[in-house]
Amino acid sequence: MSTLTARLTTVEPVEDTRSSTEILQHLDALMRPAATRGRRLATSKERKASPGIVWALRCAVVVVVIGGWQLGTQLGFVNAFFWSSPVLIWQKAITQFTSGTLLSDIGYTLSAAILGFIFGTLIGTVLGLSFWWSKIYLKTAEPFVIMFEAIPKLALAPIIVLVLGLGMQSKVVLATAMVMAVQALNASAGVRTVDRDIVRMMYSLGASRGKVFRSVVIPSTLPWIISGLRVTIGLALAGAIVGEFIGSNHGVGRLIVYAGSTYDIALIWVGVFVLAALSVLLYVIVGYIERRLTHTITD
Amino acid sequence: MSALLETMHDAPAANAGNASGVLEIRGISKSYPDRSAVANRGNAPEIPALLPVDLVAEPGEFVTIVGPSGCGKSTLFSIIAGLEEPSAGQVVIDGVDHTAESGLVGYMLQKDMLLPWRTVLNNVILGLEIQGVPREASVAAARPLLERYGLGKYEHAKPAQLSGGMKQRAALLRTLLFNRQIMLLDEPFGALDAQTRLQMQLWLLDVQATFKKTIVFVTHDIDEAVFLSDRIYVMKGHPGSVAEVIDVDIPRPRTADVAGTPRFVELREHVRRLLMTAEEV
Repeated sequence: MSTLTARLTTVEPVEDTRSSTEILQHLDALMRPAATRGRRLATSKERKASPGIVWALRCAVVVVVIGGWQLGTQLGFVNAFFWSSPVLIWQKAITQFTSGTLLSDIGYTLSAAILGFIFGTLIGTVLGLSFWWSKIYLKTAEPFVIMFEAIPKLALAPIIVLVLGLGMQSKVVLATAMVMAVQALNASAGVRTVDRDIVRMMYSLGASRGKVFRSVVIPSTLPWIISGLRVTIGLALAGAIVGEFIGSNHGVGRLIVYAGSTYDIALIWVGVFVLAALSVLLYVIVGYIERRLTHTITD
Repeated sequence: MSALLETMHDAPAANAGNASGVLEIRGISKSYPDRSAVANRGNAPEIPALLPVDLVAEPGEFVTIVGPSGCGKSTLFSIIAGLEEPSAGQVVIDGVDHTAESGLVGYMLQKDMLLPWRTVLNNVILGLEIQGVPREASVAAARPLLERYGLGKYEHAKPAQLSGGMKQRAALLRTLLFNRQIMLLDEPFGALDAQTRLQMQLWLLDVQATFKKTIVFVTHDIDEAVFLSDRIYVMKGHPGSVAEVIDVDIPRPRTADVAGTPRFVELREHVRRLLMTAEEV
């Protein structure tokens, strides 16, 4: 006790003669006057967003935007040559779906994106997991992986298309590259969080490194990979489309480029809306797969 | 109970021969290179963490190590478990030098370290799985033990669904099913509340009486040390060394009432005084 007071006085040489109660009273005087009543919780009405109202509002936004667009072109506020109009887009979409190549283009783009997604996830996961095996290997490879993650892969698109040609390969490779870099980093982050005490426990039971890898490292890294899936499906789609932009004979990306070069603005919008619908669809499907996988792992 | 013992022996666990479970620690010491001494590289001075320690645990004995934080208890345990190499000395098991060999003793820490994605059953047979015991045999050995120790209804549950005490029981069963004569328990009940802790101590005494394991135990809790042990090694820190070895001559079987007896109080106060002087240094 005496040593404690001695230490305190050396830190704070100014001697404070006030009693503890006086110190607190002093603080009290400095504080804002107590409110007459405390802050109340938000009422249940404010906290709950009824789904009916939310959906009504969403529909209202769509109606206002599309209606305003249509009205604007008819009244001349919006230049229909540059911006097209909802009615023209709708007509174009119907002719494209019934007689054009749009359906096969969608199939082409989807195939490239999904293949790239699968390859990228597999390669990225294997790469990230492999870092567990050697510290030297990890330290050597990691800056390169981070660098590869950081550069915009889309900048590589011209080279990839030149090397692999106008076919689907170049699109798949571009999509793979986008997905792979992210999942490799996810997996290596997962590997880092493996509980070291659990690894020690495994060794104390006489486990080999392979056994630790199979029974501890892989299961504890999987959630990291799974939580990356919803982000990487979007990247895969972007990779496939940019590949088509650079050079392709098929695909929704090529359709958009073609429409742009012929000033067919309505067709561009058809392509854009199709892509929006595709990405939502893929997102929902992957979200479903993600929940199922998480369920099997944790349950 | 004999049926249980038979189940344990029927399981063809890798407990070669009739290992009796004598553990001898001969002059184990550990020092680490001084990281702060950057100036003279290549000739970095070593900082001793653990001065030479001798310790003997006879078959079926319960030996406890108590000491302040940083007295090298956990280092000593890692060395005995073969997870770390000592700077000097030997770990001798049943008369054979097994220094720096893992997989020969059961080892349990304060954290339960149950694998969260495995069921309780699959967690407790992990050691047997690693040792290549067929699954049916492992399950046949594990089921009655889970049943007996109150985890029978939870064999298909995930660790997250268990209470703290149940998790520690599962972790201890995993160590027990690993079927080594020597078990190292590093503060296994440190994170439990007082009530659960007492139950677990009584349970551990029961397990010990049933399976006659050689147990080396680490704790901060003086009452726990006196209550459970046949012998207590009191350690002091910086660097770690053994201050005194105390024989606990309280007869077994022990119940919770032992804690009130004069001999218990006397031993407890003796250990407390030793630890107080150890802390001051």
